[in-house]
Amino acid sequence: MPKTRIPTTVNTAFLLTVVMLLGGCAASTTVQYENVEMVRAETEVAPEALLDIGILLFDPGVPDDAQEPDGFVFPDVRRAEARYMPFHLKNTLQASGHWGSIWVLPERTDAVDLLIWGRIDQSDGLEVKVQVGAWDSTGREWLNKSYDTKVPEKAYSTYRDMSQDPYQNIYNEIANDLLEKRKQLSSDDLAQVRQIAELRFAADLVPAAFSEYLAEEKGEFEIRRLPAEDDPMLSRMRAVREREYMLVDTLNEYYAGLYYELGQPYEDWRRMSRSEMIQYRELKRSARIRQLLGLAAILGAVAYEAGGGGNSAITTTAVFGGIEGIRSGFGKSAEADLHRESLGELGRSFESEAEPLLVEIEGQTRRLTGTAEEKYREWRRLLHEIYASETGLISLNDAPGDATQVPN
Amino acid sequence: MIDKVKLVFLVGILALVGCKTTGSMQTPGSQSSGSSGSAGGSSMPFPQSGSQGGSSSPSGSAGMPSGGQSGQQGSSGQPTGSQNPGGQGSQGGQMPDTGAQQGQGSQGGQSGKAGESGQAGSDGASGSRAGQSGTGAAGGGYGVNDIEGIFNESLGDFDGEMDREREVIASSGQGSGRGASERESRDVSQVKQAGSGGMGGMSSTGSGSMGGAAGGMPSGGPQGGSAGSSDADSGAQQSGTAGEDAGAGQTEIQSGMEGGDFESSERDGAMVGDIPEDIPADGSGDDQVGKQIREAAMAETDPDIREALWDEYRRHTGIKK
Repeated sequence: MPKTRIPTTVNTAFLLTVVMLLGGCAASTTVQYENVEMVRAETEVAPEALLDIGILLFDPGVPDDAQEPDGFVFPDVRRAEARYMPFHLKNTLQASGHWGSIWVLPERTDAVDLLIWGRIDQSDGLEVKVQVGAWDSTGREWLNKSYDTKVPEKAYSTYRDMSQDPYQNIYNEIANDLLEKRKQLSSDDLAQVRQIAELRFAADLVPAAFSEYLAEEKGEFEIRRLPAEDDPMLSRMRAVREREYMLVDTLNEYYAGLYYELGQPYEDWRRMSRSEMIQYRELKRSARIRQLLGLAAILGAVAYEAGGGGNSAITTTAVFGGIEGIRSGFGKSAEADLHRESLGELGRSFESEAEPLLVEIEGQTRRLTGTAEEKYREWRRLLHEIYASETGLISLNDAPGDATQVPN
Repeated sequence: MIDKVKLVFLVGILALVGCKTTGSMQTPGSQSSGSSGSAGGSSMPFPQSGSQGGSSSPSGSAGMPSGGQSGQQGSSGQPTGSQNPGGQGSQGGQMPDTGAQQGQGSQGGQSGKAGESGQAGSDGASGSRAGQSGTGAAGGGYGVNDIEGIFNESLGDFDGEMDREREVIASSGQGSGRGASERESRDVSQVKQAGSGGMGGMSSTGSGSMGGAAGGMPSGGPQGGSAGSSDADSGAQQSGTAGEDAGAGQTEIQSGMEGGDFESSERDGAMVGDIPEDIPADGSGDDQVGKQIREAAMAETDPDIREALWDEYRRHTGIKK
């Protein structure tokens, strides 16, 4: 029987395929976790440099169809996170000691010096990705970037410092970036930010009295001139501004309640979701590799045959190996589906826990902001009246009506 | 001559009648505006006062030049006038808060009208003129002081509402106060765990090293360490009674947490648990053997054996120390 020579290239490819098949099935991923330290204030920050920050409730980032292809976005979970995350960011920034008052806000307001906004792009306990932007009262952009991190298992340890969130890296990074940006600004810049914030609030409240102090161009504000410190209208405006702070303080009490109430179930969900997610991804990856390599083994066998391979044992082994690979890939895929189901269960369970809390906080927010809006309308009108009476420069008929936008 | 006397007499009568007429017009007007002003200031909803004030005040300045001027003077002279009800010279125009002040305004108006026209533009009389005009023209209006009063009252209402909200929050145990109490109770439960663990294994470790003491709680050790009292020697010294041991742990940890002075490195230490730094905390990629070694190492209380197990784990997983 003549000895058939197997072409070297086919042989090599075949062996490589088998090696990859075996190697791919056994390989496991090693995840590198980063650890971001927050820069804390070592000395007391000068009062002039203490900017007041407003953090808007995050955008939950729920897709329009409410379902991503992998189906891991739970709208109520995201809504809960959209309230939890800004509050933790507030706590983090407060702990850094670099900032003035910090509030979580349901809507934009001109009463703060720096406004932060965020959108949750991903959050499954294992990986988190958030888009965050920050703009000061002058319209200057401080941040507009995406933050992401992988969460290690130790981040969920019950023996950790519980003030540290499992997603703490992201919060620390945001805090450090904000601090970095603030360091780039001179004390004059910071003073201007504070003055413009005040004037923007004033101009929104009593446009007739204060709008001329500011110039706006393409969303950026500049001071034209400053009102006299003893201007009675200024002190009235400040009285209203204090009420704005009072309102957001009260709202933040409610948000704090939600934050602490959600804390444990949210962490439980993240911890379990993380574990399920790792297994799901691992199984999915393994399934994909097995299927691909199984297919490659079959193709290799076909190529071997076509290349004149005379050893039927090799062909048979490769084909059966390939089939087995594909079959086991499907098996892994089914196993992954179980974890996916489990993830769904976890999500729904947390949703059912979070939903009533969210409904409650929504109600409280609406009630309070509704009261405040009514008051704002009244204060606007009264201040307009006073300004008209004091100066005679404007007509009382131009007094702001109900249609006027409230600053909150 | 008689004609002249008659004329003077007539003028005098007319003047008196005029004054009386003005007075009688003004008095009800000012009284009504006084009462409505004071009532309006306190109880009338502002939309009404706004419309009245809106028509009366400007008409005082626009429709009656002198009154308008005096009104202007009154107001221009009073950035403080809004806060000072005594912008009394212009009370008529400025519509003070009370009926009594209104009365003063009208008196001023009378006296001004009584002939001291020279003062009319500059003193209280001008205010009374403005008051007359405002009152006469619109039958009642609101000055800066009234509006200011309503404004302040509205601010006060709002403050009251917010105070009530806060009371509700505080009484329901919600809000930021809850964070502190939760944290406290968590610390207490951790300390209790540590204390009960300490009873089991306190001979090997002390109050600080909860992990070792707890035996089954691998990451407790560094927690105790982070609280600043992880010292095997001290633990051995304190192993007299379980109660003392737990008590010591409690004291140490509470002071650590309440002081809030954990260094970040200590916090990280607390998070890592018993796992050495070069070992990935996430063991999800381990094979079966790796998992078993890891679990054994984490559960081991003897530091030498534990280190040996971690070495074995490193060898198995290919981690170079």
